[in-house]
Amino acid sequence: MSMTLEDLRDEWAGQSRRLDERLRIASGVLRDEWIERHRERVRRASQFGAFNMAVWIATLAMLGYFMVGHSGEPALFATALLIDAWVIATGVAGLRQRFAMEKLDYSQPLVRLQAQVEALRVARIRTFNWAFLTGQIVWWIPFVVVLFAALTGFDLYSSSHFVTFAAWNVAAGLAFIPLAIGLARRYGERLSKTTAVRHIADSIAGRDIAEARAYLEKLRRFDAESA
Amino acid sequence: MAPPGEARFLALLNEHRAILHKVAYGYCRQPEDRADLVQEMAIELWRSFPRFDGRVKFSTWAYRVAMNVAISRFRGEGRRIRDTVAIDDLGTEPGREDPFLDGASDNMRVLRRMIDGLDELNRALILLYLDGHTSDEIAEIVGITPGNVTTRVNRLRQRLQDEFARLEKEKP
Repeated sequence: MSMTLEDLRDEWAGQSRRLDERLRIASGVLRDEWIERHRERVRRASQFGAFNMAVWIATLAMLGYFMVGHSGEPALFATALLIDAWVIATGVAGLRQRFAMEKLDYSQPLVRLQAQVEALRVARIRTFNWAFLTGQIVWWIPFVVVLFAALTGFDLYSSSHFVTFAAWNVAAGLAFIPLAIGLARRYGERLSKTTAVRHIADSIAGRDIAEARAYLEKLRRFDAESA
Repeated sequence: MAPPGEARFLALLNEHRAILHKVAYGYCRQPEDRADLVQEMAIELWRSFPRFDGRVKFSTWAYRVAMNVAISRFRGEGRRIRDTVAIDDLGTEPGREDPFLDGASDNMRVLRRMIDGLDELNRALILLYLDGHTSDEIAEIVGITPGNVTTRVNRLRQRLQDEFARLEKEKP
């Protein structure tokens, strides 16, 4: 057998001609389907975007209302302010990434566009890690306060030991960050490959970013290497 | 009646729609996934159409968009598939229920197997080469130098010849 790529190119051209003929016969199907799908996709994307935006604005409004109502109570005010700052920062980061995705020009050369897509993926993973690791500090204290009040009826905020309690919890939250990264690196790969926990572990352990960086390097080499 | 922009787009799309099917063939093993991918490409072409300024041929532009969509999906799907099933467990025999391979020779099936073994960028190179594009045209679509294209196509040519030589040896 002495087949070459050039011989296959001729056969490929023949197959292409047959494909063209078949597509001509089926003319009109693609048109109807794609218009319908496009409308559906735009509708779903705009509904989802509007819903997310509404939830975000409502959360900010409620936090603002809460802060105004509790401006004389430093513990409550400071907690709400922290949550507010976290919600604003994660929301803005999410919006920026969404706009950047929408602005991507798919008609660019493959190597350039794929590098942009991968850079956005790195940014998305970083944002997730940052939101996940700082979120557990921001949300933990209000969560414990509410849980305590629900189970025992005791208001931790009114306790004279609240500052000590908060300081210890913030310190524990900060210590959790390197601990979570260490645990994810050590045990993350043993988790089932399909679980959400595994995806979080891969993200905070830096495996996803390492994979994305390797791909960016591959694109760079593909572009540069000619020998 | 479709607005003028849409009518022009649809006319161009109809003329070049085989591009979408050939790119989808290169990146998708399952026929039903391929149909979805063709739709995704058509939608992205429509979304990008206002940016089409005619500085490159519509076919070149369409190849870029279609391949970028296919590669992005291929990489996303690849991560998902690698996370769930081994590639050999997909249960798809190359060439089965494959309109592009209807009536094709065994050599084309060997080629299909080789394409399946390539990464996403080399797939783009070989698909464009098979489709009769010159090194300059391929370079314009992929975004690398024509010299780089020639070198890489030569490597792929050698790889294919090695594959045929191996099959020849394995014959009883």
